[in-house]
Amino acid sequence: MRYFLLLLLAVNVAAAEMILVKDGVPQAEIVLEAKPSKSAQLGALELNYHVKMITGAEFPVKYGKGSAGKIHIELGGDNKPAGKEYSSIKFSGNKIKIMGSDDPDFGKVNYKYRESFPKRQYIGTLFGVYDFLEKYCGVRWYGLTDDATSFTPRKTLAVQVKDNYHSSPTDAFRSNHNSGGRAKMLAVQPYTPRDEALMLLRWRNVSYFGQTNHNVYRIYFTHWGKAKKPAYAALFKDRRKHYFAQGYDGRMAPSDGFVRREYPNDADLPPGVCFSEPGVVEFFANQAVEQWQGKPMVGLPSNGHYLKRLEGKPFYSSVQHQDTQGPCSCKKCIEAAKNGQNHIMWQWIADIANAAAKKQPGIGISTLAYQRSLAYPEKVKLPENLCVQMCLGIHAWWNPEFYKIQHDEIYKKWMKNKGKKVMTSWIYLFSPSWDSKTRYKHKFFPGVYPRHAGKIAKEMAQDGMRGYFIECEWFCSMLEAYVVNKIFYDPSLDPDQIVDEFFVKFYGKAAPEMKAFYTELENIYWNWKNYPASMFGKNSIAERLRGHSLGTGMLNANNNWSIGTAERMAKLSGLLAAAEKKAAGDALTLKRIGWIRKGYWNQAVEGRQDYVHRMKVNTMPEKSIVINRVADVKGDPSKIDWSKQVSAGDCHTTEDGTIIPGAFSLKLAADNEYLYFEFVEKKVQKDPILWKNYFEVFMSGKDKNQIIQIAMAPDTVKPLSYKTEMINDVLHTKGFAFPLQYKVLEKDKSWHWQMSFPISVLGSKELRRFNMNFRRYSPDYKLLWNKFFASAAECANQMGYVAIKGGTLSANEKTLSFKESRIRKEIGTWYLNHGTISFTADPNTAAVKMKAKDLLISSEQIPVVQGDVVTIRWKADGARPSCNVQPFYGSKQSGFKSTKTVAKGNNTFESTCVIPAKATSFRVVFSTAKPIDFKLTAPVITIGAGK
Amino acid sequence: MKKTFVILSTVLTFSLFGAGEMPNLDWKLVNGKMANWSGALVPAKDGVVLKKGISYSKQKYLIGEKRKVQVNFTVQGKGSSIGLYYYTKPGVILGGTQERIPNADSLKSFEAVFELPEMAKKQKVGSFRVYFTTPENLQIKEIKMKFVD
Repeated sequence: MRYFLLLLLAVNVAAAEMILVKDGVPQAEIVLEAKPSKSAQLGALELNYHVKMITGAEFPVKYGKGSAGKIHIELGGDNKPAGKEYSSIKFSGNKIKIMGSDDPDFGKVNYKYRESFPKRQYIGTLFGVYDFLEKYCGVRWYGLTDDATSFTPRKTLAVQVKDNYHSSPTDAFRSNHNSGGRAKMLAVQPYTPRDEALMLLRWRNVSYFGQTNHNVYRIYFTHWGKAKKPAYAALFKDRRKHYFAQGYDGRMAPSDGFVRREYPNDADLPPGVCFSEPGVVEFFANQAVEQWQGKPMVGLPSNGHYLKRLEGKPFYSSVQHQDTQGPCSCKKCIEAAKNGQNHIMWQWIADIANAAAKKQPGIGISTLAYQRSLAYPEKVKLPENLCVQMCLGIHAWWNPEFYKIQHDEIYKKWMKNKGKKVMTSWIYLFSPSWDSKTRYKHKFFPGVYPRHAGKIAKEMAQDGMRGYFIECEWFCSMLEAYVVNKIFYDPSLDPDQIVDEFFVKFYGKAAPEMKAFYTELENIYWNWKNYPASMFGKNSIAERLRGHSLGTGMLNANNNWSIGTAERMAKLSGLLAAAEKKAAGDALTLKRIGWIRKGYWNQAVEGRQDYVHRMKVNTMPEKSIVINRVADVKGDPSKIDWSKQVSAGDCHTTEDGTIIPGAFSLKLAADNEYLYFEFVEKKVQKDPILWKNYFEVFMSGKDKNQIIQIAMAPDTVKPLSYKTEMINDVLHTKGFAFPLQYKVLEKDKSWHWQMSFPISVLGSKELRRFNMNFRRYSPDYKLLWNKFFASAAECANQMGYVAIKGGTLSANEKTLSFKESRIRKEIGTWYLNHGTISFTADPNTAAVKMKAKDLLISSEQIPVVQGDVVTIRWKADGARPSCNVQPFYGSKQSGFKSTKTVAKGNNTFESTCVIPAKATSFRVVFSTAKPIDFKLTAPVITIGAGK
Repeated sequence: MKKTFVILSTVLTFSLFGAGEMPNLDWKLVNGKMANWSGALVPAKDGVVLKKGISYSKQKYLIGEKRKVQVNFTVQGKGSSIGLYYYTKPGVILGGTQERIPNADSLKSFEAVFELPEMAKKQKVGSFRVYFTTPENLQIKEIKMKFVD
C-alpha cells in the first residue's frame, strides 16, 4: 500500500502541469537578476515575444525579486563559464529556473537591434529559454520570419513540470551560411538581418574554437608588397618572394579576392605560399602565438576577427591556404610533390602545428581538409594538436559512387585516424540550384533530402564530429538546414521524427499533400537509378570529382532534367495544387506553400518547358566555319579584302530558335599573328549604349577552362574585354587587357566596325582552331550564333567551331616512323588487323605481310582542321597497298576517306586528301583486298592550307 | 596454428618459382575453375584459350623498390593486347597500361617491359595485376613475370 502511494505520487508529479497563462491572463513573472547578462535579457525578450504570439499575454519582467503569489520564471545566474556550454530548466515549488553557462556580458539588449544581441558564445540561459519554448511550449523555428515559426495559439499555456538539462556534444562550433542565395530568399521570403540573427540563435548557433576559412593573407601584406589599403600596407616589413609559390611571374594568376583587391595590377602575384619554405612555417607559428596572446590581427578577413582563446576550451589558430591555391614550382616543392599535393599541404600544416606548440604549449592549428587536402594524408605524421574541418558535399551523396569515395574512403578514414585531433565539418548542403547557378545557368529541377541529411548529420555527430558549418541556399534547402542543426544540437533526436513533425506543424490541413510532395521529390532526387547510366561506371562523374570537396559539378542541365520528367512534374504539380486546395482559406499555410511555389517550383515548371525547347534547339547543327589565312597585315583590319572573307552565317532568336537570315554580317579572317573581325548591320541604331544594344563574342582557345569575352555597342570607343575562369566553384571574371584594335566605320544609319587582336590571346600563336559563340542583343532582337547561351561560365560547352586554314605549323612535316613497343623487338607504332609487321635492317623500313581484306594502321593521330590538305609520301617495295585517311571527330572516328594517289616512280607514291568538316585529327591506314607482302618506308605527312 | 600454415604455404609457393618471378600465374584448376585467372578461359593442349574479352590475374602483386615489370609470354592469336592495371596498396584501381600484341598465326614468344608509375590520380601506386584482352581465341601457352631494374 505504501509503495502504491509512492508510485501514485510519482505519476502525479510526472504528469503535473504548471499553468503560466490562464484564459489570456499571465500567471507568472519573469525574474531577472538585478544586473542580468545579455543572454538572460534576450532570453526574457524572446520568451515574452513567443508567449505573446501563443496566448496574447506577456509576463511582467521583474529584476532581483519577483512578486509574492506569482509563478517565477527565473532567468540567468551562471555568469562564469568554465569551458562547458549547458542549459538547464529546473522546477521547484512555484519557480522555474532557466539558466546556463553565460558570458559575463552585462550590456543592455535592445530587442530591435541585433547589434545589441549577445555574441554567439556562452549564452546558455538564452538556449535554455529556446529549449523551454520548444520542448514545453511546442514552438518550432522552421525559418527566418514569424511566418515560419510554428506554434499552437491558445489562451491557456500550461507546461509540464519536468526538469531538463542539455549540453550539446557539438562543442566547437555550430554555424550556418546562406551562400549566395540572399537575393532569391529576399524575393520569396523578405527578411531582415535581425531575423537572420535571431534564427541562428534559435538554432543554437555558436562558435567557440576551430572554425576555419581561407585566411593566409597577412603574409602577403607583410612580405609580398605594400597593400592598397593603408591599414594592410602598414603591415609591410620586407619583400620575401621565396615565401610564395614560384612560377607565376607575369601570369596574372587567379588569386582570392581578398588578396587580389590589394594588388589589382600585380601580374606576378602568386596564388599561394611556398609550402616548403621554413620562413612561412615560422610566420604562421608566430601568428598562432600572437593569437594565443589575443593580439589584434589586422589583415585577417572579417576585419581581423578570429576566435580568441576561451577559458576551459582548446585553442586553435586557423591556417587555411588560398582557395585559388596553385602549386609552387620551387625545387623542394617539386620534389615533395612526388608524394602528391595532399602530402605537401598536410606536411606544411603539421610543421606549423609542431612549431607553434614548441613556442607555446597548448596551441593547436585548425585547418580545412578541402579539395586537394581532403583525403587523409597517409604518409604525414599528423600531430594531435590539430582541428580538422572536413569539407564534404553531402548533397551529392545520393550518388553511390561519390558516397563511396567521400564517405567510405575519406570521411571514415579521417574519423578512424582522428586520435586526439578535433574533427569538425564544413557541410555543403546544396541542391541542383547550385550547379544551375554556378554552371549551367538554366532553371533547375529541384532536389530535397531532409531525411538523408538528418541521418548523415546523426552519423557524424555520433562519430564525434564536434563542429559543423553549413553552406546552403536557404530558399530551397531550409528544411535540410533545420534538420541538420537540430541533430547536431541534440544527436539523440530522430531525423525522421523531426521531418514528420514538420509537415504536421507547418502545413496543418495540407500536411499529407506536402509530405507526399516532399517524399516524392526526395525519392526522385536521392535515387541514383533515376539518373542517366552514363554518369556511373567507367569514367564516372564521381571518379572525376574524387579530389573535389564540394560535390558540385555533378549535375549539368541534361542529367538534372533527366530526373525531372514530364510525368514526375505533373505528379508533383498535382500534389502542390492539392495542398493549396486543402489550405484554402488558411492564409498562413497558403503563404508557406507559396514559398515552395515561388521559391523553386514555378521556375521548375518553366525550366521543364525551357528544357524541351533547348532539346529542340540542340538538334540544330553546331555552327562551324573555316576562315581564310590572309597575308600578314600586322593587325590592321582595314587592309583586308573583306569581300573575299568568310561570313559566320545567320543567327537564330534566343526565344524560339527561329533563324533570322541576313540580320547582320560577321566576317572573320586570320593572318599568322592576328585574328580579324568585320561586323556590318545595315539599320538605324536605337539606344546605342552597352547592354541595351550590343554585340558580344565569347572565345575559348587552347585552355577550354578560359573564356575570352569582348563586348561593344555602337557608341563604344574601346570594347570591354574579360577573361573568365572557374576555380573551386568560384567564377573569376576579370577585366583582361590585350592589344585590341577596334575601329567604328559607321554607327548611326548602320553599325559597321572592324577589330583585330593577336591569336596568342587565345593561348598560342599557332592556334588553328578555337571555339566561339556570339550574340547580338538590340531593341529589335536577341540573336545567337550557336545553339543556346546561358552564361560565360557555361558557354564553353555551347560554342561553335572556327578553323583557320593553313598557317605556320610548328611541325609542318611528320614522319610516321617504326618504333619499338613495350614488347621487345616488335613495332608499336603500326599494327595490322590480321597480318604482321616487323623491323628490317633499315630502321626506316618495315617488312609488312598483309592478309586478304587487311588493314595496316598507324597508331598516331595527327591534329588537323577541316579543309586542311594532307599529303602522304610513302614507298612500298613489292606489292602496293591502298592509302587511306581515317578522320577523327574528337574521340570519335567514322570510316575511311580514300586518297588521291599518284605514283612518283621508284615505288614511291604521293597520296592527298582534304580533311572533312569538323574533323580534329586523322591517322593513316593502308588497306588491301588480297594478301600482299612489301617493304614500307616510313610515310611522311605534310599538312597544307586548303584552297 | 592457422597463421603458421599460411606462412609455410607462402614459402613453398615462392620456392617453386625462379628468382624474383611472381607466383600464381599458372592455369591451375580448382573445382573446375581457373584458380589464378578471371574470364572466359578454357584449358587447351598448350596452356589455355581466352575465348573473348578480358582475363586478368586474380592476384595483385605488391610493388617494392623496383618499378619495371618484365613479362614473358607465349601466345597465338590476332588483335589481342596485354597490359597491367595498377592499384593503391589497399586495392583501389588507379589506372592501367596496355600494349597491342603482334598478330601470331602460331605460338610465338614475346617479352614486354612495363614501367609502373609512382603516382596516379594523386595516389601512390602500390600493386598491380596483369591482363590479356582479345576479340577472339587468344591461346596463351605460358606467362612469367618478374621485377627488373
